[in-house]
Order: sequence, then C-alpha cells, then structure tokens
Amino acid sequence: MLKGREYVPLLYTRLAEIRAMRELPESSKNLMVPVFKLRPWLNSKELDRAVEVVEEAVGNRLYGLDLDEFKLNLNPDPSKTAATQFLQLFEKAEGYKNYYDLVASGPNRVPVFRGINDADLEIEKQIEHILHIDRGVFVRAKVGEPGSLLEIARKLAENDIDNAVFIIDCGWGRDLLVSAALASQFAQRLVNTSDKFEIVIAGSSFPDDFKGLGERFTIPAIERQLYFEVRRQVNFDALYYGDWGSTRPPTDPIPMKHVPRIDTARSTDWVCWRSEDDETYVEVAQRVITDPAWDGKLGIWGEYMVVATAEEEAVRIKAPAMAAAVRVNIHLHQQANFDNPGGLHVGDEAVGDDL
Amino acid sequence: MITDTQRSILQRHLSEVPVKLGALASELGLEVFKSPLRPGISGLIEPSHSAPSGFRIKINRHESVERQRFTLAHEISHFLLHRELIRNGVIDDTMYRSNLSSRHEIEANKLASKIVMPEAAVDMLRRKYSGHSFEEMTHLMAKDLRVSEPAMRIKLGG
Repeated sequence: MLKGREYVPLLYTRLAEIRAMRELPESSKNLMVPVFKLRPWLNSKELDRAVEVVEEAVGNRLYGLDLDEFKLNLNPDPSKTAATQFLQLFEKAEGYKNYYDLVASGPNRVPVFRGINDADLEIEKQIEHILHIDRGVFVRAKVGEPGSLLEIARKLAENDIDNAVFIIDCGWGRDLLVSAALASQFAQRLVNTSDKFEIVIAGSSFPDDFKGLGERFTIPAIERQLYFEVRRQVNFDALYYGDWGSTRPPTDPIPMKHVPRIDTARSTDWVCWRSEDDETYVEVAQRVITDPAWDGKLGIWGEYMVVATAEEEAVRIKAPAMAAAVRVNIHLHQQANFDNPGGLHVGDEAVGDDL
Repeated sequence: MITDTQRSILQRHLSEVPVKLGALASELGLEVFKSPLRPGISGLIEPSHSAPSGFRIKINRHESVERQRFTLAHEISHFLLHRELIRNGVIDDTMYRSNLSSRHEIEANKLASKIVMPEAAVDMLRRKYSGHSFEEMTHLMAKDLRVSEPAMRIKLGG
C-alpha cells in the first residue's frame, strides 16, 4: 500500500490538520498516506461532513480512516445526529459492521483494525470485513500497549492479507529514543511473521509547553532519529517514517492566556517565534520573515500565510488554530520531501479539469 | 474584441455548469498555471512563446478555489477583450486593479461574472430553488456554480 510513498502522518480531524492537509501541493500529497482519527466536524449536523472534509483535503487518494476515541470518551451529546452516528461506529456488533460499512462506502478509505486492546476484538469477523473491502488494512498499536498486535499479524498472514500496514506509535515526548529498542523488537517480530507487511515507525517530539523559552527558539525534531534508529536495528525495506504532524494530542479545555506564537518547520527541527511584550501576530510574523532562518521560497501555503500576516492581509493568522495549521502545513511538506529535497520548492502547476 | 470563433467556444462552454474554466482557457489557446504568487496578487496574464494564443495566465495557488475560478475568468476576459493592451503583462491585485484603466477592469469583471455565472444557468437554478429563502438559494446556487457566496449574492441582486 505504501510502495512509492515516503510518509504516513497520523492526524486528528481538527481544523488545523484539515486546513494544513488541504493546502498542501499535490506533489506532496502524492508522497504520503495519512491516517485520520475521525470525529464529528465542528457544528455539522451529520457525521458525513467530517468524512467529506477529510476527502476534500486529501483529494482522490488513499487514506486510513480511524476513529477518535478521545471524542468518544468525552461522551458526545447523543441528541445530536452526528454524535449518535459517531457512537454507532464504535459498536462491536458483527465485528464492528457499522464502522466497516462506512469505510466500504468510500473508494479511498482504508480500514484501521478496531479494538486492538480489547479482550473480545473479533479478529475473524473483522478479517471478513477487511477481505470484503479488499483495500488492505492499517493496524496501529502504541509501543507500550501492543495489545493483540502480533496475534492479528498472524491471522492476517494466515488469510494471505499481504497489504497490511502496521503502525508502531511511540507517542509524544522528548524521550522518544527510549522507545527505539521496543519498537525495533515489535518490528522484527512482524517481519518474522510476514515479510510482505509494511511497517510505520511513528512518534512526536513536538512540545506542549513553551514558557520560558524566550521570543525565538529552535526545537530539534527527534522522531526522525527514532525512525533511523529502528531502521538501523531492523534491516527491512518496507519500513516507513510516520509522525503526528507536529501536533499535540487532544486535551480537555484548559483556561489559559493565549500568547501568539508562529512556528515554521524544517526537515529536522522547528523554529518558533513567541510574542514578547504583547506583540500581535502581525508583529511576530514581521520578525519571522526578517529572520535568517526564514526560507520563504518554498512556494507553499504555510509560508504564504506568514507573509500575508506580516503584510496585514485580510486573510492571515489571527488565532492559534490558524498558526498551528501553518506549522503543520510546512511540517507535512518538509517530511514528505525529506528524501526528495528537489521537491521542496514548489513552482507552477498546470491547471486542468480541476478549475 | 471577441472573434466569432471565440464567441462560439465561449457559448459552448457556458452551456454546462459549473463552467470548466481550465478546458475553456485551453481551447482558447491559453496556458494556465496555479502559481505561488505573493499575498495581494490574485492573478496575471502575460505573453508566452509556448501558448498557441501567445498568452499565459497565472493564478494565485493559495487563494480559495472559488476565488481562483473568478480570477481565471477575469484573466480570460482580459485576453478576450484587451489582448492588444496586455503588452508585457497585466498583474491583477486582490481588488482586480492593475496597470490597465478602471474601465478595462470593470469590463473584465463584468465578462468574468457572465462566464462563471452564465445567465441561462442562473435563470434555471433560480427556478429550481424558488421555494428556498434568499440565503439558502444563494448558498445552493454558489455551490452549483462553484463561485463564492458574496459573488452569487451580488448576481442575484441581494
């Protein structure tokens, strides 16, 4: 499934991620297969809208359609149609039939194995759905909570399901490299089960606290090192890089004073500019585009928005979600082109039937 | 001025909505690119040695699709109406102001509006959605024609 691709971003269907994905150049989208954790879309009445916005953003390409358990845990209001439809996708009846039916109803949706940490995950029934849909499957596990990862791998191999992608997620943190040995161990066991599987090593070192770091700072991105370390230990061709797209995991709302911050992403780090002395987004952006670290020549939306902000255009960064979308957009573009630096600078794209 | 051949091409493409602007431009001999233009610039038309018509259009790849469509229609209109004035190129800002006169820009805007929102299609859709409120009608028609709601609202006289 991933042959010819370079990158598997793991994303939630939040405003920032969707906008960041939607605005990527087609050339970058062609290098990735994202996996989205679905949740009801903003104030939309129907859950279908959430799938629509993902597919508008991804274009006519394969993507993993996962479910956002965090939103399930928030106990969405069952009186709202979208929330009810969302809850139904988690029902275990008939091997998660509701979920697999949703996946089957769109031609580019790839299922993500359900309930990997549950005792009664109905492997056989789920495999029936996967065989019926016939687009392969993602199996994702946290490195510290592998659940039935290896048992599922064995069953998939027994059923000759070769186009399975295993995602070993090392989670968020600045100590990601501690997970490398464990991730390597699981990857090696999967390779031993079938050398036809594809394996993604993912994690994120993007921080969640920027206090005390000053008005400008650089944060190394360790997830690439994690991937390289596992690749060094597991000599396997079909090992792919994944990450959380420089996002943070969802959290319950926390009342806090918002401090404007603009981040840009490079291939192995992020450069962040934080408001000091009540600087506005416009003033922060003006600092960004005069900084030696500023490229400004990639030709992508994220950079365009920083310049638009510095020049006080009507459409500009005015809130954290848009600032996050800018960072995520540049990050996704950088990681998709990590081994293809020639593709980083985007030029003219011929218009065809799309307009 | 618009030649008979161009008028015929235009009429044929305007009979189906949303109007396929890329195909229309191509049949008129124009090259069209989505380009990383700077903020504040929506599009431009300039001479090209490789385009059959002798002109290429660039539209800002970072603006919304609806905005890109109107910009493309606007630049096509400059080609149809003002190609003898284009010389080294015409760059349109986000307000569709350029080195051409206001009169020429107004002309291009009027024709662009007719290209993305053909009269016959507008009449047909107005009948189709006659049972809806003005706001709903604007929303539905904008979606069918792939134009912005403000542009649709102006067209419907709101």
